[in-house]
Amino acid sequence: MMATLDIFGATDPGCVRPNNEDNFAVDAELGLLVVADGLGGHNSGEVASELATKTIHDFARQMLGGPRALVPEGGDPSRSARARQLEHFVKTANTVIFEKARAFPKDAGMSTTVVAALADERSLTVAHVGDSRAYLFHNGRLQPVTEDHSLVGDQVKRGLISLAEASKSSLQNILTRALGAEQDVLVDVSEHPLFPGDVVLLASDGLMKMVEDDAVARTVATEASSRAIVESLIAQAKAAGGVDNVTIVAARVPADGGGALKGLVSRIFGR
Amino acid sequence: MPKLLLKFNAAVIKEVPFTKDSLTVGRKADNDIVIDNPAISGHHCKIALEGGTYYVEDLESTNGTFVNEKRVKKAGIHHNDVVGLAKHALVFVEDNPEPVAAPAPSAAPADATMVIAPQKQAELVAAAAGTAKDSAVNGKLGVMRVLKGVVADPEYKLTGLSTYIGKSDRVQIPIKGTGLFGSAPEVAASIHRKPEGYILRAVEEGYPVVNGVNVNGQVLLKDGDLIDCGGTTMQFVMQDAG
Amino acid sequence: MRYGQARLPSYGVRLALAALGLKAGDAVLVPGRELRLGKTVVPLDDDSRMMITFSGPEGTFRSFSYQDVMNDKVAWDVFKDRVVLIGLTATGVGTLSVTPVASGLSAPELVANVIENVLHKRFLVRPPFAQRVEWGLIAFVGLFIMLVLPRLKALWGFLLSAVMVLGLLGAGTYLFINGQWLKIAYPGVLLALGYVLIITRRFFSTEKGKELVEASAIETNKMLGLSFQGQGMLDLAFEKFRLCPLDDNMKDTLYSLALDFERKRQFSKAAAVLEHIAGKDPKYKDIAAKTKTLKAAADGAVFGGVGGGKKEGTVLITGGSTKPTLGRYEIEKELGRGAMGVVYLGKDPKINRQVAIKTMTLEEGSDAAEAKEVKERFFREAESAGTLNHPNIVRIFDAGEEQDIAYIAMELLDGEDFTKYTAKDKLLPVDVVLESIAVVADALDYAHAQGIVHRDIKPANIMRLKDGTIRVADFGIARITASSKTATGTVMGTPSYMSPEQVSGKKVDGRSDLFSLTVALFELLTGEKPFKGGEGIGTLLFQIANDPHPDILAARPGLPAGLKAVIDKGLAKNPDQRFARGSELAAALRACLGGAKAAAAPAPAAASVSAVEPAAPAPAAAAKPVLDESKPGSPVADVLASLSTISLELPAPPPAATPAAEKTAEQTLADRTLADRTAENTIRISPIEPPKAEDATQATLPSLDAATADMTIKLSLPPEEKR
Repeated sequence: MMATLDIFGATDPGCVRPNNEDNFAVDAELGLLVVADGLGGHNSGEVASELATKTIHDFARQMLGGPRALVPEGGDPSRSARARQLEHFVKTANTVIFEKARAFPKDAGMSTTVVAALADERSLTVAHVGDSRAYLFHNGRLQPVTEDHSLVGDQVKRGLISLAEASKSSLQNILTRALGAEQDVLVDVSEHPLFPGDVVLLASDGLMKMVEDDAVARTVATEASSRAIVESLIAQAKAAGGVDNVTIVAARVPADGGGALKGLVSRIFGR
Repeated sequence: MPKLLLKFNAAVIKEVPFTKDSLTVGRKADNDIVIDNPAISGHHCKIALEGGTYYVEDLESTNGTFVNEKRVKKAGIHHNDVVGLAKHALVFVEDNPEPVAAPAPSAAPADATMVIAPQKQAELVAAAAGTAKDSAVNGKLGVMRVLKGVVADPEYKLTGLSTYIGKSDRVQIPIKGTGLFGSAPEVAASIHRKPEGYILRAVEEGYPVVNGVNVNGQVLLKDGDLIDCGGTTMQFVMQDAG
Repeated sequence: MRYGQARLPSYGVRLALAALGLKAGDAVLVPGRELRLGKTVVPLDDDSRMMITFSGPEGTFRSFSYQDVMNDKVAWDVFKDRVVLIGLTATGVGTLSVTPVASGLSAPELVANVIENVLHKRFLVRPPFAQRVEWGLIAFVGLFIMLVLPRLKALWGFLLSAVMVLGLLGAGTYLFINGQWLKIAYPGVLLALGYVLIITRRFFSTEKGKELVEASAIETNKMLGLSFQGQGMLDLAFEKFRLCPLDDNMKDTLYSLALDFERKRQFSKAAAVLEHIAGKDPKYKDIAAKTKTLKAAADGAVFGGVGGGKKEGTVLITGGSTKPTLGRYEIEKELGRGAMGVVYLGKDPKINRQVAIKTMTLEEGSDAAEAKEVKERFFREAESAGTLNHPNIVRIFDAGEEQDIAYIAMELLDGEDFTKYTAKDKLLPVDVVLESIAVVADALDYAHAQGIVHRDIKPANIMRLKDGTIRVADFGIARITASSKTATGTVMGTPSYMSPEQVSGKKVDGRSDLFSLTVALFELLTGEKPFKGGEGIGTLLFQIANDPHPDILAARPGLPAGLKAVIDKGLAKNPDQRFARGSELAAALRACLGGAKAAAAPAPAAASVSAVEPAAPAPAAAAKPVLDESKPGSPVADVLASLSTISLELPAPPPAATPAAEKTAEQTLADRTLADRTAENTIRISPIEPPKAEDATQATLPSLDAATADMTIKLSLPPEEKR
């Protein structure tokens, strides 16, 4: 029973870049959110990121949209079905991008980051490769639920440099993992419970580079709808310079609107 | 040393490494690669190294020798080229593919002319070390040991960025409830891995108890801290990452 | 009962009165509360009615048939002291009432019950609190259902509900028996219904969602194959489809794949797909006939008109009647594979000149915009190299497009690139390397002067022709600096050779090429790259941007000492600290070579000369005494002559010399004397040209003071320390 989440996504090339190599996909029915940031010569980045979002969406539709939910065989049984599915979609996207890059010299070397999530009103599953991020807003606090697969992110994690230094590092954009780089890719998957009023935020690094986490948190807390959140954040990113393409997808779990009564009703019927 | 993949109708049936500089292909037994098929001539073609490049030369075969679908008499072949002989094919595979192929994380990419997007140079290093190491905070990994009220496992490694504790089936660490009906919040607390260590956050305010003190907001866990959640008691321990 | 306005005692009441020995007038009615019959108080409900407790079904009260009585069959004693009612009881006769105890209780029996109640004081009362209790119960049950029940596990919920129901019923019954009537029905029913509701909801919600089915590898392969097909990767699609069983659906998919192949004119592959289908179902659609046609097409596919549409096509060689042409060039054979397409040997029939033809075929799946971009990039090479007219830069003759192939006709180079000379066991002699690089530096100097930056200088792009001359090739990613205003845009290059500013995506100019050239120089001299990287390119880029380069003399001790300065300057992280122009680098290199070579250096544009002319005792190859090069007669030379070996550290001079300046240098050097023969000596020499900046990377490196334009040379002897 999928109470529909309020999902909205948008992308903007920013103020500096002539083209947009980011891509995103949302599917309210499946509860699917995807953001990808591509890299590669001239517009290969766009090809890669579009391949990523399109492939993941296609496979999600085929494996989740039908009357039965398909789970990839041979997965790790200790993980939940959704985690295995999401990982499968991401890995398939990797294969497609990798092979395409191999087949077309002009696309050689193209790759993309990706962060994808499946959400319903109870829980969230997130899979990602690269330095596009997913955040979870709960109880007034904005918490990242992904760790960047980047050189700088690694350094921060190992305590070699601080977060502030990281944001100033000139090596910020070097990734340690990306889709399309190799035949196989290691995907990070995690699961989180969701509560009414929570907000899930997926964004390419165009946001993080321009807007401080506090400002993001404040925006998420104050804006009423996903659409408002996304539009406000994009505007903030551009106001701060818009150095990179910025793509944001937000999904909010409907709060206990009717208050007690809704809670009561949902308790009788909804648990 | 490169190698040839012998395919029949696109299915690889044999892998032939180049043990010497030239290989002959044909139906007769004196060939280096023998293909027993009437469409293949006795001596069909030869693949040899000349001046740094490998060439395939048709030896007056009946049905011809093709390179990537083009019939040839003699032509140079490169990585991933397909030498066609009737229904068979030989795919030429080099160890260190030229820049034409996608850059692999070996010395090859460093020498290949690569295209890197600006302001976002994506570099692809071979997959990082094991997840445990990745998840460690300065080389140490947090572990939750369940001392009392075990529901599933007695120990949980805190490898994820966030780990949830509660009664629901959505959490990683299940706990026992208290009271007549054994109830507990669906999600009681969450543990987050940060550069400075592990933080326990009370999702259900006041419910989790750390070292005897009810937690309302969040608290940084120290090695050996005791955490009570409902009917389950756990101990937080920092271990050396494996 | 009412009668008109008055209330009259009913039949039953009258009888009761009588039985009690009272008179009719003794009945006192308190409406809504009670009826007092003497001492007996009959509770009444709000409507002044008495509720009847029925003792039992028909026959509870002893009844006798009228007949029997009349016929004296019954003893009269039975009736003594009892209230006797006479009335109609037979079914069909008289009125029957529906009661809780019997479906049809006759009137007398009804009355009998009434009297019995009154006399025995067995009243059924609704206690005053009844209403409240009932509502309370309903509310309680309601809350129970809503709040408690959902939280309980199935077993608990069931038990508790059952207990409650029983309790309700039991209590109700008990009370009822004792004359209290509580409407427990409502709460009871509510409880039961609620329970059922909750249970079914829970059942459905846990069973919610879809049935989870494992998708076999077959299905995923099929999906993957379709993805590949959609992206134009037909071979891979076919590979995946083969792994799927050949059902009708699959046949359709394969057929469409064959059509795709056909569209791309890969006829034999299309035929192979159809044959795969035929293996299972030869009669499927028209595959038999189609296969035939396709095979014929495949066999007959000659490289006619170069419009093959395949980027990997190789030219037909054997005795083809007409040679394929591309533009006005005849294609003779394939030479090799470039990054963008095949390179052919062609001939311009009009002037009978052999050329190299670099082609690029537009790929499958590229749309108009992509195609345009790629073509632009391709022709940019022609454009940038086309404007260059230099003996050491590969000449571009022509560029064009035919059908779906774009081509560039360029100078045919009969030689090899320098890649093979980067292997440790195949290094060229130092003087050859220095001279070659100097030549390239001069060529780059010219290109830069024309506003073109190569951006991909490396040994692979430097050709050594059979006649010994050098060519710089592959301006494929060159950027016409004039047209690039900002640093944004694609950064390209070969990582190992990239300059720090290239790595960071900053604006790149000629000096970046010089950096790359110095890297190549390093490699050609030592067989090793200065920046090797680690597991991956991230490390490499980091090194280039941050780490100091290795000491070339440590990597190959026998090298001329002056080279260290050249390398250090060439590999300076800050472009401002490098050679400003190619000619400066060339001069510096030639200086290291010494006199003979210096004189022979070609100088197309500028009068490039080594900073220190023959007089300078520049070191030659490793281990060779420097003395050979020194001009006899100069004091320096004398000194040096008396030393066994010397490594001379030449500063990285920017000598875009004027002949006058160069003479000056020569003279001044000759005029200088050595202070003493200690480990470090300094000789001051007027530079050819004011240097740009101080080289900060090495303390011992000579500092170039722009104002005074002095150069400092250090002589360190003997070089054993360096070995």
